Amino acid sequence: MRRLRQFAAMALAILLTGCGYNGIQTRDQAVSAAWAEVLSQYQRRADLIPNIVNSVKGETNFEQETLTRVVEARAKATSIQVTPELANDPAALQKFQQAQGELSTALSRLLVVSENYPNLKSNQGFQDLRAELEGTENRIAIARNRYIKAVQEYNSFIRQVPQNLTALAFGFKEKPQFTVEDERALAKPPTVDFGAAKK
Amino acid sequence: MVRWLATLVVLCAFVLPGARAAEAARGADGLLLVPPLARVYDPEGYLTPADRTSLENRLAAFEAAHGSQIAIVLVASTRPEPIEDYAHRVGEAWKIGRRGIGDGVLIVVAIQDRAARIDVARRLEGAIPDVVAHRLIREKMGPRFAAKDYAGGLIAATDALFALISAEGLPPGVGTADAGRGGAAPPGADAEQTIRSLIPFVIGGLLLGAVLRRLLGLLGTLFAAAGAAAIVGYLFSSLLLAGLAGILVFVLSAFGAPMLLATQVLGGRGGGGFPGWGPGGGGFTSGGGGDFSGGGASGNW
Repeated sequence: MRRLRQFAAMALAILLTGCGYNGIQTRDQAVSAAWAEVLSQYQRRADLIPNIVNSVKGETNFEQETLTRVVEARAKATSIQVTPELANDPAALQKFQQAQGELSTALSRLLVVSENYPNLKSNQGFQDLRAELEGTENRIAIARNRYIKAVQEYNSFIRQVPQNLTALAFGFKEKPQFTVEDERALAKPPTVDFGAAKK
Repeated sequence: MVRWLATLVVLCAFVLPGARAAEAARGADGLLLVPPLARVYDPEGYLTPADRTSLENRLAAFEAAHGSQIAIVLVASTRPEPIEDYAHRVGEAWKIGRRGIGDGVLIVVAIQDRAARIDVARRLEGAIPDVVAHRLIREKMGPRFAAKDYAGGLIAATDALFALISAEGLPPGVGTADAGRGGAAPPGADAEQTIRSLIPFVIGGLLLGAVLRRLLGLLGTLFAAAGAAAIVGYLFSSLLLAGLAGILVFVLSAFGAPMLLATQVLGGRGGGGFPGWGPGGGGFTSGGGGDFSGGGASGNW
């Protein structure tokens, strides 16, 4: 009987050392931090765009359609209410990604079109803005990758054996992952027809 | 006689390829592997040995004075990978920049792609904003690289970086120019390396414990454990590591000789050398603090 009690005490001690509860908390926090970083980089891009649009507007004969598309895409992307719960809701996350993806496409189209305007190309201010934009896109890509890794870490931890019971007990669910579909669409360079009339 | 000659010929076939200029190694997926840590990595010899040494000395001197770590990687091409991705991979692996400060800058040049990238760690993004990095590439590196003056371009760029970083007001460097230790970082940049470096002390503690146990019994093991903990704590300035070492010595000693033998075997493997990004060529160690999150700029010439 004494042995049994000893054994039970030891088993309880092992169970209490976590069964992964603390591990879940740490990883959940890591995911939140990574998400905050992603949002901050997207916001940085959104803040940069008005400057770019203004510097391009000054250029006479610039394709207005491209500019309007950028402005509209930005408005759409920033209109999505970003709450911490966004990262946990797959449908909302999908919409958010889509909006940001459209903004990326509109921006890359703008940059491609601006290649055709030698005044813009030689304009120091525009070159600087372009460098900033490319830097922001790079940061976004890296922040996304880190977020994806953090979510992966969290999801695989939650699925492993002692932890999945704890997760079930406390109601921790798997988090939705950034989908890759947008990336492939973005990777395709936008086709620009310079033959079309420059208004 | 013929067999001897044949063996010699076969051996030469293995030796001679190595005599060619080394290329940057690629992995199974065709992407460049992260190179071994070095201040200036130039496997294809775009810089003359004299230029390279002088560049390394300048970087080492700057690190000694200001603590920030700048590294340069020259490869032929990063294709099919964009230079940003390659630079990021190298930055994430090397993590140059002092621990706790994270002031590192990585310059990657892909000569055949005619692309260059200055990757700035987070801490220095204020001193070297993206726009400034882009201008450095456009104005300092571009024209010189176009004229194939790679050393000149790198020297001009690093001089500009020195000026920008020293104006930032970061804590000064260690000051000694001995083999470029990465600032006031405790030995062992990551957990695995730290644990590995504990093994010699644990072994020492066990040996001592074995002796003392014979003399003083259990009390002897306690003394040995305490001694090992004290030495580790003093050398590594870490209470956690000291505690870990002490507990390991005590527990392993309590199990007696068989465990001792087992750890001897382990020690033979683990104590044999530091893996990965430890002392590389020329004694350059990474501070381990650099967080490369995409700052900096790329450019072509």
